[in-house]
Amino acid sequence: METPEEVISKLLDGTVAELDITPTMRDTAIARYTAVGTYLAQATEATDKDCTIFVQGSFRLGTVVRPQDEDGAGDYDIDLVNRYLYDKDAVTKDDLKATEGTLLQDYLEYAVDATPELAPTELTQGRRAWTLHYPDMHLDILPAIPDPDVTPNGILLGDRHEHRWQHSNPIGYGRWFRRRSTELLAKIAESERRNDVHSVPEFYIRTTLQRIVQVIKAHAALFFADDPENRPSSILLTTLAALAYQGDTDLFTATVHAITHMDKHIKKINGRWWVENPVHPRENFADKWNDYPQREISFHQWLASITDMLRDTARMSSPGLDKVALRLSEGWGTYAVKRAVAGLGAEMRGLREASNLTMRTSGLLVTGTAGARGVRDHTFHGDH
Amino acid sequence: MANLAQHAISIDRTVQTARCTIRKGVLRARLTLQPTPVSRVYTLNIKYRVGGWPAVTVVDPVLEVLPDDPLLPHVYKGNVLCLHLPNEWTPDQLLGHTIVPWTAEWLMYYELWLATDANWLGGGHSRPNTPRTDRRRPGKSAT
Repeated sequence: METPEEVISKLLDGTVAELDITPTMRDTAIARYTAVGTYLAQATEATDKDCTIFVQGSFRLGTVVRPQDEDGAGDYDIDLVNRYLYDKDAVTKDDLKATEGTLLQDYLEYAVDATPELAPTELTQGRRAWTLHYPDMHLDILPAIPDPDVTPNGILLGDRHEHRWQHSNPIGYGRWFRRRSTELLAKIAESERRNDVHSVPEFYIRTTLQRIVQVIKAHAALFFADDPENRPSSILLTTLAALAYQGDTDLFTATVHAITHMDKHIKKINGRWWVENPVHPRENFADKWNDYPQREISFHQWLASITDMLRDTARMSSPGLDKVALRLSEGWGTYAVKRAVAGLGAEMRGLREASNLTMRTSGLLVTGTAGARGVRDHTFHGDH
Repeated sequence: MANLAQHAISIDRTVQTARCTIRKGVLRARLTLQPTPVSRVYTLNIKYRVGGWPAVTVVDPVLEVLPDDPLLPHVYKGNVLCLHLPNEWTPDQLLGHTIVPWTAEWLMYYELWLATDANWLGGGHSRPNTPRTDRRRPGKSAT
């Protein structure tokens, strides 16, 4: 690490990596929802309305951030769509939701006996989705039907608080998102080559753009911990970050750039706040700001807060790693930042043990094996 | 075995700010080290005489401790930094190539220890109640 910005990048990366979904949990989630999908597909096959389950939201994009509190990180929330092949006029939102609930209840009862290792423990109902509960995660399964105006991937979904069908297009959005980052496209292509497969989803990959989204969401989650009503939606933050992203691969620099340029992508059209859904121009992710003006005010207060925090931290003059970590904890939480610090320590120790650590004439420890100033292996010792 | 002048040169060459003096058989060095780009800049003293162990102490800033424990990690009495096991350094190894970079590491792990509420991430272990004067002189084979 040669600059303060690189140190902060490393700590931010470690912090959100702690809140990210691990490969093991990712594969567990996939196994669980695949089991649900297989059962439901078989159950509905005979009816001609057969359904398909696919992931959406932050799991799909590779931008998962677990909630956290003082004790550590909480359970994972995985968002899924269950798309039934109904025509819009052939079913009501309430019937669709009721059908879904019945099928999922059947699945739960079946799984508890037949596949206990994959079985959920409980089924509950939310505003739009049904939730299957597992020991360490929730699967939120949204019933949906195809949107005839947006083929092939557009969907329509119901919401208890809304009269009309709501439009969405998670598959299209995922495709748009990946195109915002050449790094992401390149890593996907490389993974497809290496594994000799036709397509690798984003959620197997992590790049700077995804990390920026995680850094921003994690900060917002803490900032609005006592004010959840005003918290900006995940899709709004993700879209603004992706629009503002310019391709930097240093996380600190890229995050500062993104938050500094977010405002450019927030429009006011005929006096109304507008952030267009890039894959559905008539959808406005800032719509709620017009109904609840406090939310726009809170968003800009949050944006100023995260901007100040990152700038202040980079400007601290030789404060000590501990003071930098303390400052970052104010924004990202003590638990996750401490884990990032531990990761940094382990990495530095690994460099020394691999004879890949050198000291510069200022005392700066960097990677390298430059002759005499290479740091030889040794064991700390002492009375305490 | 290296002489004091050779040790002094090795420190001078390794650290930009080092100032060494040799008087009455004692090498004294004052230097500053900043182990990471956000670390404090530490001022250190090294004191070494032939036949003894090199002793590194932090002059500035005063090293903070954690709220629940008044003791610093990996130090001897007098807050002399403990940087190695007895058999890991012998007087033929130049101070500038061993003790000095190990000190930079100690300072970095010290800051990480503060940041993680007493997690020493640099590896190593403690031997309680071992006064330095009781230990073997350097250069002898270790048990």
